[in-house]
Amino acid sequence: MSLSVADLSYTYNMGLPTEAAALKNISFEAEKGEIFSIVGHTGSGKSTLAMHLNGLMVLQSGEVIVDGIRVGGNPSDLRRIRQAVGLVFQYPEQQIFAETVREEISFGPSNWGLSGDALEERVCAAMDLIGLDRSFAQANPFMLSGGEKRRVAIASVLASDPDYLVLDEPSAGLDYNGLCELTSLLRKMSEKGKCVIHITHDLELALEISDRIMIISDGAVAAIGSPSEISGILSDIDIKGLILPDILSLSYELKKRGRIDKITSDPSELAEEIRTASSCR
Amino acid sequence: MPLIRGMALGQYIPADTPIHRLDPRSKLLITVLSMVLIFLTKSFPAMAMWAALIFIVAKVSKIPASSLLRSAGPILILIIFTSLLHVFFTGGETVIFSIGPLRASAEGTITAFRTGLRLFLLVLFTALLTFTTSPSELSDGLEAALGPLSRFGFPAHEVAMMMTIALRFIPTLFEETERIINAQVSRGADFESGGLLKRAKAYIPVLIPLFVLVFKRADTLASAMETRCYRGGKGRVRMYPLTWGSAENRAVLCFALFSAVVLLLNRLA
Repeated sequence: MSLSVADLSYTYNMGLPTEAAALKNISFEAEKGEIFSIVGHTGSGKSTLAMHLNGLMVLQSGEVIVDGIRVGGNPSDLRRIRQAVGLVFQYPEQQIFAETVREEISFGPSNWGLSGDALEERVCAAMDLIGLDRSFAQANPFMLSGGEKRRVAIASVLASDPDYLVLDEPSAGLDYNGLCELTSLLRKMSEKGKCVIHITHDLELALEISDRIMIISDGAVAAIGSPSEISGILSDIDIKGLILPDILSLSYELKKRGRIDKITSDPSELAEEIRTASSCR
Repeated sequence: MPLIRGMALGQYIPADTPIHRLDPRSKLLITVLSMVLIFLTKSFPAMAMWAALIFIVAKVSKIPASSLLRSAGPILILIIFTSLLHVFFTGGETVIFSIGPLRASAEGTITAFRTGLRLFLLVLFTALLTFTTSPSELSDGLEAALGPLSRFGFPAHEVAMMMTIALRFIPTLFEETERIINAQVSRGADFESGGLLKRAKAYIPVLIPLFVLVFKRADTLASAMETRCYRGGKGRVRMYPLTWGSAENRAVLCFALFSAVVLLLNRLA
């Protein structure tokens, strides 16, 4: 069971002078239990791709298949797809509307038909998962801090217990602690057997937490592979506005000067490489 | 999400065409005149001429016909409602059919068709203005047009600025609304099934975040303008002054000739 995308293309404002191709023949497959990061510069088509995964966009060409169900195939399957693929939008706190945290978090599962104890359990489980104290349940979400609001919004998606969790730039606007909590949540979700599709422009974060990475540039797949594979080829591909992590820049420089044999974004691995290369000399 | 996609009202489509390049004052003048003239138009051949003019201008401006027609979408209900009122309440000798006490006359049906067509043409013509004129150009044009009134204490600049901001934010608000709708739909919200009350209630999770966002945005915008020393129109100068040249003269002249022909056709009918 997986989420697969094949030859997906999408063009905005088709036929208008402002026509712009957002996605060009995107293909990938994400498995349950892995963190799959989609990395791209601003305007590379990441958010358009995210919305396709949840069936929010009408397919123009290509296909998206979730656990064997084709998005856009049978209209009655759409609810099952949306239940299976939880989508956390960028700045999700802007979607908050309820009077209490509990009501906000229960919005998703109650839409899927849950009620009573089962609903209560889901709300509590989502709050625990995101690290929100249960005393927050009756709090007014509009009175919470920015970070707390973000957690409530993410919990409201987790409460639906999706098998695939798509997060669009979840780290935007978070401080260091918030970022640590987020990465720990993503790891926890993948350990629970969920597929985490992490959409970001933060290459360093993607290299640190992902099992696999897909780089998209101008709507097309530029590279796809494990963090070590991606680290090895990043200097050869056009990453546009993405910032290369310092550790990788150092790695490339050392390789260029013949001081190491292998490119890596892992600090301890790089130290080991330098040590091995020095001792050989 | 097809709920609000396709609403084109107030959307500027940038392109380098002779219509786009015209001074906004000339386009405003032509639009205002066309509003009066379309309402004066009674004959169907004259209306056909208006439709032809609209589509020729759209073609020259590289505005797809589909986008132009879509711009009438939001007020289609109003057009249909007005037309229906005319069908049943205009009165006339020849009754086509009746529903209870309501009688649809042939005269009423013709009037309904004429009124509906007039409203439709009016919307399309005004849409051409917003399709081919950027909000800032429109504001400049409005300010210049209302300028003489400022001698009598009318806040021309402020009114123009308010209209610009309103126009500028129509697409942004559509985008924000669409984003919030998408977020709620992905959490299982259903806006398309159930009765009227249920569907209206389903929009609460959209309207509350939207209001919060709009007020925050308005507050930020006001602060951003204030921090850049905005104090209304007094003492402000323009980076790109408006210029009325031969192209504008030609456009107004062509429109005047067209209007004369339309009025003549109207009189002959």
